Amino acid sequence: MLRSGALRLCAPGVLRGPRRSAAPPTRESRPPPRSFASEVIRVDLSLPNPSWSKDMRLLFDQFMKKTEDGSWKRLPSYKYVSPQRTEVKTFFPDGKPVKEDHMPQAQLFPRSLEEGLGFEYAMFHNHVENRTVCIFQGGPYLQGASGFLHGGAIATMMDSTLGVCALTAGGVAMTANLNINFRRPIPLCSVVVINSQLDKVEGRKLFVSCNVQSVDGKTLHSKATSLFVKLNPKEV
Amino acid sequence: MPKHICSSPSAGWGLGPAKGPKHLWVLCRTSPALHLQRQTAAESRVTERDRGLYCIGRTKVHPESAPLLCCFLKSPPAVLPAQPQSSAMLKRGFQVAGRLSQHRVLPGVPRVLPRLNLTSAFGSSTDSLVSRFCLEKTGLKDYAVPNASWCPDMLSLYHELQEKTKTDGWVKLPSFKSNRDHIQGLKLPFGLSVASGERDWRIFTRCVQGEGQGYEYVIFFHPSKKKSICLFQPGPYLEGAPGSWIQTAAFDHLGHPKGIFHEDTDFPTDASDTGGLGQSLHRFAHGGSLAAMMDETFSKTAYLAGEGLFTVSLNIRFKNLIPVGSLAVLNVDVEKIEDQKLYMSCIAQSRDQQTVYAKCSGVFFQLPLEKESPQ
Repeated sequence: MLRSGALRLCAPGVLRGPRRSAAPPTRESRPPPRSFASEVIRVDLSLPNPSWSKDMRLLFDQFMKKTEDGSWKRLPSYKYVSPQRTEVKTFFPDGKPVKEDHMPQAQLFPRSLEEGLGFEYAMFHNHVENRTVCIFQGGPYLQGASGFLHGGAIATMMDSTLGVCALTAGGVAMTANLNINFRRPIPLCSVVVINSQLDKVEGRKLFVSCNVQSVDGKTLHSKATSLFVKLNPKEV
Repeated sequence: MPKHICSSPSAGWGLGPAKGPKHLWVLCRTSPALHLQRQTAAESRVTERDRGLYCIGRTKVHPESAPLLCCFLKSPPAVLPAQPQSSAMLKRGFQVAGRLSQHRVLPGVPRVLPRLNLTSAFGSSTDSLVSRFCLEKTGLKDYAVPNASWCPDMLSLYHELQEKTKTDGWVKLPSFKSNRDHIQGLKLPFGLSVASGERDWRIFTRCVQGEGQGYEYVIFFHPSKKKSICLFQPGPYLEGAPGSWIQTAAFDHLGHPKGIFHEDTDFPTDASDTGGLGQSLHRFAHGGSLAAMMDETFSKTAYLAGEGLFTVSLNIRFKNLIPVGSLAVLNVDVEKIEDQKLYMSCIAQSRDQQTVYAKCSGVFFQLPLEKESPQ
């Protein structure tokens, strides 16, 4: 799937210019009205791209089928998280790299690596059961012990998935505790499924847990429990 | 008293049947890389077990001299670099055992083989692991060196610790693009190694190569104290979700955050408005990036302190967010080594220790690497 010009700063190796977008032109000229937690619509990266393996695509299709009856919903995911309506193009008109001082947006960490090299994932949420499922393919730049996914990389994905689960359940919250038990190492470039659910809510505390399984469901790679705390606007 | 007694236990012992000549079964671990010669001073057999070689030697001793023999064999033979010396050491051990049978020592020795203490029963000692890890002139680029993106705090603390590498026994660890480069000549055991696509791999904490964009870090390790200090500066690629901005944004009467989220604000086009790298925008690092940095520091510390290889668990308590571009100092200690697991703790805080960013405890599993078979 082609993407619109999202020029990367200091892209390792190749410097790429903006690419043609498959989205309709109106989308980029007029940003949608923004709400509290919205992001400027750039490109939804939670969609299949050439780097996705067969397993990943299969899983994605399975979950997309589940969204048909309305209980499941695919969650979009963007690279740039910004409240500003100014487009990236304005700052990178000639495709030249811009100094970091002028960089407008924040990059969401799991979306900051190039296609196929880092985190490739898509999240689905079931609002009835309060569950969030993330299908994740770890790329070659996430290496830990030789040939396996770095513990920190799966920790980042678990934190993201748990965060989304907490967000959809209770609003904006931040990670307070994250407790991960690793059972089996995950081979690099393989696909795993992260199932997370909200366990309980106590006031501002959200207890969320998740497990990481292989595609066939036979291998449990790791489990995590976490505590998220809802932010209280008045205290900020 | 033999003069080779040292304190790290790597052997167990036991006694044979009460009647008849006393036989001392000596069980000691050696590095899998060593090939022991058959001992002539005593019967011995080498058994390959799950994690390393066991050399079982049997020699006639007076039962009460067993503690002395045990003490002697407690010096880990694998500290010695060359194979013949190690086997000679064990051979000598058995010879000494024979001589020791002359002496009467403490009575009341137990008759049961005690549980083998695996604390440092693995072949390689910390010193040999460190010297192998910190090879000079590898021709590989070491990323753990200062560059233009390092903030002043990080630079000054780096130089302080560099001084300590000369005087206090600290070692600066090199950091290569792939973990493969750190273990040249070695591989994961039991067919865990995965062959294909190695050239494309990059260790997660070096995934972003642009200076100052992703992880900027350097780890200093102290072999005898089994401690590490990691200087970590997260770059803009490691930023977190909007939730991490909300902590410092103000809110208007509708509960919507204002300031940077304000509808009317045109985006500032020159650096002075943002105060440099987002000072007024208060950007913070993703929680996962700190988790990864802690896991990485644990990983290197565990490997050097006791051949720890895989993470078993991580328990992170986040306290405060780390601003992008600022320094976080991670102090890691090895609490204990038990049951083939290394237990470590880490505290990430600001340089002046006034702000604690997170506390973490981690457990790593010990698994020695195997020598790669020559191709």
